[in-house]
Amino acid sequence: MMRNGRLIAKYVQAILFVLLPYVAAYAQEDDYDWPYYDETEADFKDIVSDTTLFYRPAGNDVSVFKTLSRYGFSFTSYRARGMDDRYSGFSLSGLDISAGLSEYPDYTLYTFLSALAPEDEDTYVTGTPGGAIRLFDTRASSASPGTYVTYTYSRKRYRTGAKARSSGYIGSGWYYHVAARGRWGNDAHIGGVFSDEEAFSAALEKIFDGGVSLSGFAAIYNYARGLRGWSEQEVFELTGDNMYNPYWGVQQGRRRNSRVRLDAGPVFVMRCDIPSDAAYYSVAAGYRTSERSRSSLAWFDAPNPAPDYYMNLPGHRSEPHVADALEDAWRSGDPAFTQVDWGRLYESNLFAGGLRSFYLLADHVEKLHDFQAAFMVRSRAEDGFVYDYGIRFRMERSRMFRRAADMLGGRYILNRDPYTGTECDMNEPGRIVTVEDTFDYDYVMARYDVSAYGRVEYRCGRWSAGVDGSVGGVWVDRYGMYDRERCFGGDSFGRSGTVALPRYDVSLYGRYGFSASHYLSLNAFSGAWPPYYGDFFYSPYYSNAHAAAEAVRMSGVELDYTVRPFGFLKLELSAYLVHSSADTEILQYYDDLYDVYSVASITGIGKRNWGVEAGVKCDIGDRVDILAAVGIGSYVYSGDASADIYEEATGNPLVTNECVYLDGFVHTQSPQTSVAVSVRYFSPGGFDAEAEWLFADRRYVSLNPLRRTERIAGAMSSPEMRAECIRQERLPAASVLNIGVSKGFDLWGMRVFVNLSVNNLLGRRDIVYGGYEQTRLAEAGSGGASGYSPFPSRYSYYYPRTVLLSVTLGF
Amino acid sequence: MRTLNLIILPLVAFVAVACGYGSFGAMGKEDFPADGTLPNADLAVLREHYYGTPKVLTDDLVFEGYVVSDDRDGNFFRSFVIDDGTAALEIRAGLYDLYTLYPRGRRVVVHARGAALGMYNGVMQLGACVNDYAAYRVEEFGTCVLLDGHVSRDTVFSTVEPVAVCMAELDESMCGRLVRMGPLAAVGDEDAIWGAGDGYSSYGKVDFAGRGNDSIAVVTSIYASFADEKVCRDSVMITGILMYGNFGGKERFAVKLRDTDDVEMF
Repeated sequence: MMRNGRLIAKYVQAILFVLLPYVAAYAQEDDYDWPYYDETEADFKDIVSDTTLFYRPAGNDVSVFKTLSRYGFSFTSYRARGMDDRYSGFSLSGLDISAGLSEYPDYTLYTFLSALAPEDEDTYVTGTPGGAIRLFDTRASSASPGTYVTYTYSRKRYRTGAKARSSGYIGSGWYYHVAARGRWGNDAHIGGVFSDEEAFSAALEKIFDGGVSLSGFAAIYNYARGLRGWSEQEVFELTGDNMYNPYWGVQQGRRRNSRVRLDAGPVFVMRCDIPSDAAYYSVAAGYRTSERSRSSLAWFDAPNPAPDYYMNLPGHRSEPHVADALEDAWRSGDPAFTQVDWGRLYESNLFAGGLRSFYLLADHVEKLHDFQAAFMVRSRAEDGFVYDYGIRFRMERSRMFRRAADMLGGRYILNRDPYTGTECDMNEPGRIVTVEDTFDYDYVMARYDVSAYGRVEYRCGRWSAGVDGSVGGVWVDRYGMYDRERCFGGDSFGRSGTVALPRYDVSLYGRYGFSASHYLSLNAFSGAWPPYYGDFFYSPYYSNAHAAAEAVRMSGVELDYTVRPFGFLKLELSAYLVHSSADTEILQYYDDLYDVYSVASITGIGKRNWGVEAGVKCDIGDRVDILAAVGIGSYVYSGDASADIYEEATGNPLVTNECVYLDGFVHTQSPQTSVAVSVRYFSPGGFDAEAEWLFADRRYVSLNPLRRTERIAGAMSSPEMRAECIRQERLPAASVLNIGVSKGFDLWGMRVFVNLSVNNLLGRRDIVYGGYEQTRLAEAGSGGASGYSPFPSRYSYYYPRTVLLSVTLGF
Repeated sequence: MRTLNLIILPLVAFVAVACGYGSFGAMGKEDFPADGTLPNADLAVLREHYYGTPKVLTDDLVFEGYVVSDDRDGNFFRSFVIDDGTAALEIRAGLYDLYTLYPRGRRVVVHARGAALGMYNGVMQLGACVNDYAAYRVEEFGTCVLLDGHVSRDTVFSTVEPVAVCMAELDESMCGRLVRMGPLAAVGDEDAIWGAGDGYSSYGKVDFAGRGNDSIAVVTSIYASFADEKVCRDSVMITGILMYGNFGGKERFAVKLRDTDDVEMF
C-alpha cells in the first residue's frame, strides 16, 4: 500500500512538473500591449508592414537570452536586438499575419490568438531581420487535450479576466478546440486606462485515413481599451505622479478617457494538409475583417483641450504670475485643471456654439479586409536533403476615415479644414457633419503581396547547411474618396497610381555539431523589404502624392556557439551584425521656423545593429536552475540622411536636400545593454517559485531627425541651446525584480493551479519606460528674433509594483 | 453541479462588473448650474473711483456684466468687454478663442478682489497684476486658472443693446461701452480697407464723419478677419466699442467694430 502511495505521488509529481511550466506560460501575461504607448500612438500601430515572407524554421532552440528577454524587458521600450518592430514575424497556419498596410505589428490580434488558437510557439528562423517568428496553429489536433478555465486578478490594464479552452478528440477522426477570453476593469495605477474585451474561437479538424487533414478555425473578438499618453517631465514632477495620464477627465462623476481604442472582427482560416511519401503539402486560406478605431478630441476655432498642452505648463510660460498660477494649479491636483475638462468642452458647445460644435470626440477608423492564400510543401528527408517551397498571395484593403463620434453637446460641424478653413471635399462643399458621419479624410489603401520561396537543407553527419530565398513583389494603391480643396500636390481624389516594390531575400546557413550539446552555427542573409506606405506617401490622409518608393535593403550575419562543459552547465554565445540602407521616413509636423504645417521626407537612412549576447543555464540538482544572460549591442544610424521639407497644405517645397546629421545617433529607445538573471525552484510538492532581476542601460530617447539639421540647430538661441538641440538624451538605467510562485494540487477531482506573480517587487516608480523628442520649438524671444529652444522630451514611466493572480482549473 | 458553479459563478461576477467603461450620457445645459451671485457694486462706481493709476483691488467687490464684444473675428485680441448698463469693463483674459466660453450676451460675475484695474484708451481694464514697463500696465490673466478665479460664467444670456449717441454726446466715461452712431460716411481714400496698417501700428484707421464737421475714427486690427475688406462708402450706422486715445496723431474718440455686421446701411 505504502509503495503504491509513493508511486501515485511520483506520478502526480511528474504530471505537475510537466504541466506547471505549461500553466505558468498559460498564465503569462503578454506584454504586447506596451507598444500602444509608444510616441506615435497617434497612428494605428496595431498592424505591421512585414518583411518576413515565409517561415523557414531553423529549429526551436530557444536561447537563454531569448527566454529571459521575451517578456522580461517590458519595463522598457524593448526591441529584440534593436530591430524595428515591423520586422517581427507572425504566422497563422502559414498565412502571414505580420505583414500589412500599417506600420506596426497587430499585437491586439496576436494577444487574442495566443488565447484562442489551438497552439502557438516561437520559432527562430533564418533569413529574417527579426530572427524570430511566432507561429499560431489553427489545427484542433495540435492543441493539448483537456479543459482549462482560468480566472485572473490583475492590477495592470484590467482588473479581472477569465479564460477557458477545451480541446480533444471527438471520434471518427474529428478533433475540436474551443476557447474564450475576457478581460474587464480599470487599471489600478493609471487613471483612465481600462479594458473591456471578449473573444471566442472554435476549431474543427477531420483527419481522414491516410493522414489527410481538413481543418477550419474561426475566431471573433471585440475590445475597448483606454489608452495612456506621454507627457513632459515637468508634468510628472508637478503632479507628483509618474503614472499621470493626460487623456482622461471627469464627466458626470466618472473618469472618461478621450483616447479609446476599439477593435472588433472575425478571423477565418481553412487549411488542408496532405501527407505523402515524399512530402507534406499544406494549403491554407484565410480572411479577416475588422473595424478598428482610436478616438481623440478634435477642435475647431477653439483652444487646444489637452491638459498638458504646452501653454498650460509653467515651464513654457515666461510671465511670472502665469507660471506661478499654473504651478499652483498643477500641484493642487484638481482634475478640472490637470485632466481633460469635459465640462468646459460641453459648456463651449452648449452655450457658445449655437448648434455647431467647437469640440467633438472623433474616431480615426480603419475598416480592414485581409484575404490570404498559401500553398506550402515540405519534403521528407531523403539522402540528407530537405527542401521546402511555396507561394503566397495576400490582398489587403483598408478604408481609413475620420468619424464624428460624439458632438459633446453640439449638433454638427462643417467638413472644413480647421486650420485653413478650406473644404475637405469639393464633391460636397459645405457639408454638415453630424454624429457617425465621416469628415476630414476618407481614403482606401490597397496592398497586394505575391511571393514565392524555396529552401534546401543538407545534413551530413555533424554538418548541416542550407540556402533559402524568396522573391516577390508588393503593389500599393491609394484611392481618395475626398476631393480636397487644398492638399499636398493638389491631387487627393481617385487613384494615386500603383506603387510597385520588389521584395527578395536570400540566406545561407551552416551548422557544425561537435556533439549534441556543443555546436557552432553561422547564418547570413541579405534582401530587400518594402517599407510602410506612410514612409513614401507624403500625406496619406489627404493626398495621392508620394515619393519615389524604394525597398529597404538589409543584410546581416549571425554566429552562434553553444557548449555544455559540464552536465549541469550550458553556455551560449551569439554575435550579430545587421545593416540596413535606403530606409525612408515621412514626418508630418508643425514647423516653427516656417510657421506652417509641414511634411519632411527623409531619405537615405542607414542603420547598423551589432552586438553580442551571452547566456548561461545552470541546473543545481533537480530542483533549482539558474539562468543568466547579458546582451551588449550598438543600434545606431549609419551615415547621414537627406531631408526635403514641404508645406503640407500645398506641397510647395520649403527646403530641399538638406543634410540630416544622423551618423552615430541611436535609432531606437531599446536598451543597448541588458542583463537578466533568473532563479527557479521546483519543489517535489508541486510548488514552483521564480525570481528574476533585469537590468537595462544605454537607453536613449527617440530622436527627431530634423533637430540634427543645420536649419534647426542653427536657429537655436545660444551655443548651449544648440548643443542641447543636437544632443540625444540618455535615459537612466533601470532594473526590476520580479517574483512568481505557483502551486498545483488536486481538488474535488480537478487539477488546480494557482499562480501569483509580482512585477517590480521593490515598487520603484521612477523607471522611465521610454521617451521621445518633440518636433516643436519654443521662441526664446519675440517672434523668434532671439532664437529658439527645443521643446522638452516626453516620457512614460513603467508601472510600480503590480500583482497578477490566476487560478486555473483543469478538467 | 459544483464544477459548473466553479466555472459559471466567477464569470457572472466578472461580467457584472465589466460594463460601460466607454459609455457616457450627454450633458445638457441643465448640468451647468447658474451663478446667481449678485453684485455689490456697479461698474460706474468702479470707474468713478479710478484715479488714473493702475492698482490691485483690495476690496471685496463683485460686479456683473454681459459680454458685449468677443474675439470671434479677431478685432479684439485675447480680451472681451462686459457691460452692466452703467459702464463697461474690458477683461484682459490673455487667452485665444474666448468667444467659445464668453460669447456675446453671456452674463459673467467678476470677483474683483486681487485683480488689477487699469485703463487704456479710456477703457477700464481688469487684469492679473500691474506692471510698470508696458503701455498696457495691467497684465493679462494669461491662463484660465487666474481668469476663472476672478470671472465666473453664468448660464443667463441677455443681449446688450448699444447706446445710441451722437458725436456731440460722447464722453470719456462712456469708453468701453457699446455705442451706435450715425448716419456716418467714410472720408478719405475711396479704396480704403478696414485694417490698412501704416507699417508701424497693428491697426488700421478709417475716419467717419457725420453731418457736422466732427469725425470719429474706426480702428481695426490688421489681424481681424475683415481687415482686408473694403470700407463701405455709403451712409451707415456704426456700432462698436467706444475708446478715447491717440489715434492718428491726436487725442480723439474712436470705435472698434466687433465684425462687419456692426456697419449697417442707413
